[in-house]
Amino acid sequence: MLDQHLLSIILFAPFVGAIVLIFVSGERLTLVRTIAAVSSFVSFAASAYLLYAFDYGRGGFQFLEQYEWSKDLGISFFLGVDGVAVPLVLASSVLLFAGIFVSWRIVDRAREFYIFLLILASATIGVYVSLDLFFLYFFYEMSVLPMYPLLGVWGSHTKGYLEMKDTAKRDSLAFIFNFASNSKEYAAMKLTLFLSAGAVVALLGILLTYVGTGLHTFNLLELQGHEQQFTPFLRSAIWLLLFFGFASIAPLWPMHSWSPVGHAAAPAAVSMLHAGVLMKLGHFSIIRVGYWLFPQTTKEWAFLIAILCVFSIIYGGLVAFFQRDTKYVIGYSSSSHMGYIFLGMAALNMISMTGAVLYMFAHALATGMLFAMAGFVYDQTHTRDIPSLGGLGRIMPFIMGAFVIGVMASVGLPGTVNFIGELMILSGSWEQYPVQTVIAVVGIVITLAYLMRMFMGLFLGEMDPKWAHVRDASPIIDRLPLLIMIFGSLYFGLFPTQFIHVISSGVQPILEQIHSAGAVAAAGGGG
Amino acid sequence: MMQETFAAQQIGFSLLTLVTFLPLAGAVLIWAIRDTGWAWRIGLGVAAADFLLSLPLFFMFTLDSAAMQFVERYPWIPSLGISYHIGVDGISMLFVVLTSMLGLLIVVYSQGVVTERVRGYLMALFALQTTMLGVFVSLDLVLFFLFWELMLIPSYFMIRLWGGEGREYASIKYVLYTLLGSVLMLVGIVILYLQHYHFASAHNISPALSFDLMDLLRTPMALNVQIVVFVFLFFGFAFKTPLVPFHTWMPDVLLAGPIAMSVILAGIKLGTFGFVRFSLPLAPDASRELLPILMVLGLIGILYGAYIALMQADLRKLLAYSSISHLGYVALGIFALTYQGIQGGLIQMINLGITTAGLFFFAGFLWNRRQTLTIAEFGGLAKGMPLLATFFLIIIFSSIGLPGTNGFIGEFLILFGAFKAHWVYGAVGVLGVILGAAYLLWFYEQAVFGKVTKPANEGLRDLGARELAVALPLVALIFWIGVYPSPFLHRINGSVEALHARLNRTSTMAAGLQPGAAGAIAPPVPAAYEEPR
Repeated sequence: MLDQHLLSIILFAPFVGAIVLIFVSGERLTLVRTIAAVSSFVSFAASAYLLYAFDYGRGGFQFLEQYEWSKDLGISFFLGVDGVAVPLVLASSVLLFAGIFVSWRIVDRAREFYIFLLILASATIGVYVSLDLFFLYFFYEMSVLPMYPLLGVWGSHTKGYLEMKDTAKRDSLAFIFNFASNSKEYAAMKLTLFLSAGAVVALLGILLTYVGTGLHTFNLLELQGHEQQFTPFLRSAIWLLLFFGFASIAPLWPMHSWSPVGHAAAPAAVSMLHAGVLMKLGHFSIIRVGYWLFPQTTKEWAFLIAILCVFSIIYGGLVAFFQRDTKYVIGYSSSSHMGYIFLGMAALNMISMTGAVLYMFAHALATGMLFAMAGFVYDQTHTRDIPSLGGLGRIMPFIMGAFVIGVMASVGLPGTVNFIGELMILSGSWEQYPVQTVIAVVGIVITLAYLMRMFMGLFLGEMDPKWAHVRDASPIIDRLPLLIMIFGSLYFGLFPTQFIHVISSGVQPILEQIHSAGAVAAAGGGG
Repeated sequence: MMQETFAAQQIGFSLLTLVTFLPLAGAVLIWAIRDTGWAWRIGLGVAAADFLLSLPLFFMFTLDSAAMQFVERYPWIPSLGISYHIGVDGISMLFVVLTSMLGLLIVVYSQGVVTERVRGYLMALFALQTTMLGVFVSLDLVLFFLFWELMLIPSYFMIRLWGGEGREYASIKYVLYTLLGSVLMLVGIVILYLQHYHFASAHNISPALSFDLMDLLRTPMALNVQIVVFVFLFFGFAFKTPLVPFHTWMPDVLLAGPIAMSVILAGIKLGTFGFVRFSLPLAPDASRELLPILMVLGLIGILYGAYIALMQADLRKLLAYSSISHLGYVALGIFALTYQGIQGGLIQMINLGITTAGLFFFAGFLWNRRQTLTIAEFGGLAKGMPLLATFFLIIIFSSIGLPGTNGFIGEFLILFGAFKAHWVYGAVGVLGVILGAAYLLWFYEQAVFGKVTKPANEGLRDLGARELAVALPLVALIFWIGVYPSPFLHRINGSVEALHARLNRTSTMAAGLQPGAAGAIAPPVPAAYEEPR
């Protein structure tokens, strides 16, 4: 019985929490935080249950719930998960739960903050569980919009912006091209406009699909298998619209420039959700819509993904190396790692795609950790500027230790679940894209280089006396989110089997469709 | 398939897992207990226990056998073919014992030297010890890679937090260089995995997906694939060895890092071990094809290292280049692909673990007295410190390869093996011996012989009890192996024989399982890797 409504519980718990918060007075901080924590915990617990309750032997879409919404338009509120969605739902709820605690110290309009945060997380989960294209798009947009107030109100400016004395000049139009010196309002604006534009492009693809199949339904399961109804030109056009529309949130180079800016300005919990799950909406939607509805076209255009992913990996990595701002480093690092997921998606075989989805989950935890810590340091020091910091390791040993694990995870050191994902992506992609695979491994070294630079710059060396008052993450409130993410990274790094089984069961039908036209199937047989 | 003797049969319990993870358990215990005094006691106890536990591996080892012994195997991630599979054979067993012995000596040495952040130091040391032991015993390539990569973290902290001048640069350089090599090695591992998958699928062999060394050894590969695999694996091992021109991190790290790190890096030969354990058996035909290039790299290492060592003014840098030179010897022996060459290379790796470690310990002794290792600062040390002078000389003789010491055994076998491959290799190698003698004896003459030129060198106390405790076992082993190498050679011979046989087959393409050998892994075949053809 629980199983019948499991997805509704996961999806609506945070949303219900947000509604309840509307009626609570903003003065009662403890109550506000408790409601947020409880509603996110419900979602988290239910998602963990989902991971183990999912029947990977059976595969397919499970935990289906369908309610008709508009008969005329063929829209139904249709929920369901397959092996690909389950890890992402769990990632969303974990990051939301951790994010509640990371944001615990916010006092300025905390109630509104949590309302928007809960809506944001709810919406991302909504995308992952929607099997109706209308609602997928609905939740997709809904996850973008809360970012605007979250960044604009509770965000922070970059150091460069704060140091610019000439306020008329710094807020002028010309200065929007000064990338490292942005106000939080600018970041909020840029992010929202970019992502909305991308969503609209994807919407165009969705509408063309709706019209072209003539079935008058947005139901993904019913729309499947009708690829041949479209002319080759139209098929490619739709696929490219969907791909570039969704990939802008990924963020695939060259549509990535909103992301580091957005990461930097956002409060910690928002960055965690942004890098952890919001960006994955792009990859996921490409698989859920593009791969699922247009398998042959996907096979034709996979090479494009393989070409573009390299730019993400290398560009993101090299730019990260020269950043002075903690969140810019992590932000560019995140966009670099998204390239790995695209590589796995491009190779179109069982191991590479299973690895790509596993890596999505793994990266969510790793980047969540790093942003949580960057946020903690910011809360203590009120700066994100690495050269101003230094020597913090002596007074923040716990954070330093957690940071080491975060670096381990980001680099994909064995022992973390990121390694398993990475290993699978590399194994799956080598034969099809050897050049990209070698570039990807070199990217690992670049990743370590800039993360080590940041680590050394923050924690080692001489400490400026003005940081002497800074405290470590000693209270359980501060430690809990980090411990959850560390545990997830290491536990699943040593015992990834459940994930691998679940994800493979979801990837298999997709690949079957893609390779079914008599073409040679690449490495399969996993799981 | 290679025979495996399981630990349950051989000794009745999981000895190897215990030996490998005991240091890590010690690290956790030290972390939990805040008292520094207790940290030293626990450290000493754990290191001693680990060494004593590794002794049965030596004494209960079946002689002249190529089989994997003390094997333990548990499934880990079956869907990807990754298992917890460990064991030792002639190639690895001596390294395990050596590593645990050096671990103990380092703790003994450090107790008189390290005073800051003792708990962290011991934790890093023990974490490093577990990862190194793990590298030696792993028979699953992902497990091996896990330990190999995890070495980076404690290494970085050891150099960065307990090193001397230049440690910031040295630590990050070491980590980045090694990681670059490792990730390229990972590509090689992936290619092996895929090769096995294709072969196993085509011949209906189960399991199709496997990272297990035993399975991969039975997978025939065409020469060009072997060359690709060899090249990728090469990077991982070449950076670690280090082979010239991938050696540039080593002088920096040996200069800037703490003595413990120098002992470990110079004494425990993970890079060359990797070549012998993985590169040669998995890509035998490629190894033969690339032999001339590899031998030349070895010779360059010998000559370049010796030549640069001759010009050094600082003892640690001299020893660093000396180390590079000696590793050139090991490479020369191994890549000759002859029986004596491989045998000599292996025994020399053990010898270096004793000798070079000893040299660095003595460098540490000098540093503790004078806070400098500039050779010109010394002179006439023999007068006031006869014990130190004597032991130092013995170790130097071993490094040069004087008959009666372990160095002679290794060097002789290597040169003989190299000669067999081609006389030119042997001839050039001999030149290196002369240069080796030159720089070490020159150093000794400058620093230890003659009159006391600097007043600071007068009145230095001779070796203390702790220092003797470190020096005596090393010297004892120098003579034991030098005079009576038989027990050591008999333990490595079986595996060397098998490896040599594998390297000298005419082709691997037709070898391996016949089509139709469906179902489970084939029953064990005695001794050699495969049926002779």
